[in-house]
Amino acid sequence: MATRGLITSGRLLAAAVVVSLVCAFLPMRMLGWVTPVSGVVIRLVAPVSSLGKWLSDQASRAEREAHPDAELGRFEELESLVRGQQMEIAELRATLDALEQGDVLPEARVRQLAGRVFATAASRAERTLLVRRGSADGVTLGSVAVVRGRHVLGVVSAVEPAFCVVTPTVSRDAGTLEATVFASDADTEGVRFSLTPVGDGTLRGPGQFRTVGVDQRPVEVSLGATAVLSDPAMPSHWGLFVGRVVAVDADPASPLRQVITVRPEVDTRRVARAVIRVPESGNAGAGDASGAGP
Amino acid sequence: MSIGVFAIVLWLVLGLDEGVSGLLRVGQGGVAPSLVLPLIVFIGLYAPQRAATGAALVAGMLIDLLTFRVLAGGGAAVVPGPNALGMALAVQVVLAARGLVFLNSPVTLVVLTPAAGIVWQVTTVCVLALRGVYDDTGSSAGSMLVPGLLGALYSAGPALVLWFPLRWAMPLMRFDSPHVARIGSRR
Repeated sequence: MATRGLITSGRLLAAAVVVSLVCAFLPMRMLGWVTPVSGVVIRLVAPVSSLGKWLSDQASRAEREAHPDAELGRFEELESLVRGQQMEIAELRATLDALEQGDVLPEARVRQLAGRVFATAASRAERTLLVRRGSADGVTLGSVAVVRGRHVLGVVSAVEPAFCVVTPTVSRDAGTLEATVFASDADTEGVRFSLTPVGDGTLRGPGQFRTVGVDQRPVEVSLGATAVLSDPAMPSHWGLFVGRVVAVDADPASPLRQVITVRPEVDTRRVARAVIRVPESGNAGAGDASGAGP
Repeated sequence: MSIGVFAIVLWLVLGLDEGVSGLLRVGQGGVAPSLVLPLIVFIGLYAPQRAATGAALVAGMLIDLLTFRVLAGGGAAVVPGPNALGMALAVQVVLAARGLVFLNSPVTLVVLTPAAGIVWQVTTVCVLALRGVYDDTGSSAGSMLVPGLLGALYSAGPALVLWFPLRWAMPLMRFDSPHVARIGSRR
């Protein structure tokens, strides 16, 4: 390499190492400038990564935004809506006093934006997905990505003008979410569980203890039951499917409570397209906007 | 070394890596191979020392810029540096070993890729673990190490596949190292 006065290849290399070293240890609050740079790099790489993703989608049974079986998809959609409405009714009962005083609750509305997944994280340890819908389309932090109709894929954890970053619910760092499992079709209240990703593609967590009837019979969920989203931070997305219960155990700390393991029905590793559900402005509760990044 | 050709090859490999890693991922634990790692090992085998280290730094930094780390409190952030330092150290393993190996054999790339990958992953995890002392970096370092190491071993597969196109593109890359001239005369 050429030597030009003070600037030599050796010094350039040393400077690059020092810059990498300094950047690697900069506190997160001083790294705000990196995200736009990252956006530029992602846009540069996007043509090839889109092609690679398209090829891999052709080679695998990729999950799409709509359910492959239209009839089953319609059934799931109705089931999801009913469960969501049941939870909303329970919530409305709790806020009846506020309504009597003249407050009007906003109608739950979401805007749905279908987008192609064009890349997965380059780092081996991270499992985020990049979806070709961004702030220019109205996507906001905390929006929820779904596939196959109403199956939760993950939450939008970062937004750039041209794309957004979706963290799958099963990603190890996705955080705890609240889901409700209904013990039977007649059960309208369900049992709430706090589900935390385990790291093996499942979510696991304890539930509340609820009894019914005069004999105070505990409500118990069974294997195969469906867990639906009921997280207070995401009221606009209640009723979406989180997954199916694949294991039920007793809580060692409190034997009357159940601990369930839920596995999503969609394979988050092979997603071709997703729908981003964006709460309409004015409807987004405090929680709906709480997925803010650093 | 031709920087232009390297940039194009890196662009292609990085894009493919981003696009197909979901397909190549094994299990739900996040074990996936890297396509960039064999490229950097290949560069390390043939390029001059400084050019190889510089290429590794650039590739690592681009991986950092393409990686959104999920933070514990929600949200995601980009942390530049850990993969750049990891790649720069990984290529030193190749530079140290290249005098002892058969440069004309794909087995060399297949064997050195996991070795360099282990250094890459251990360095990256160490940097993130040190960051974790004072900052939120999402995953605990320990939980990233095992999938990272398995991914490094898994990268031997793509290394075998990449050997042939990289070897074909080798004259375009114009590695002007003395040892390359030596093996070039035997091709």
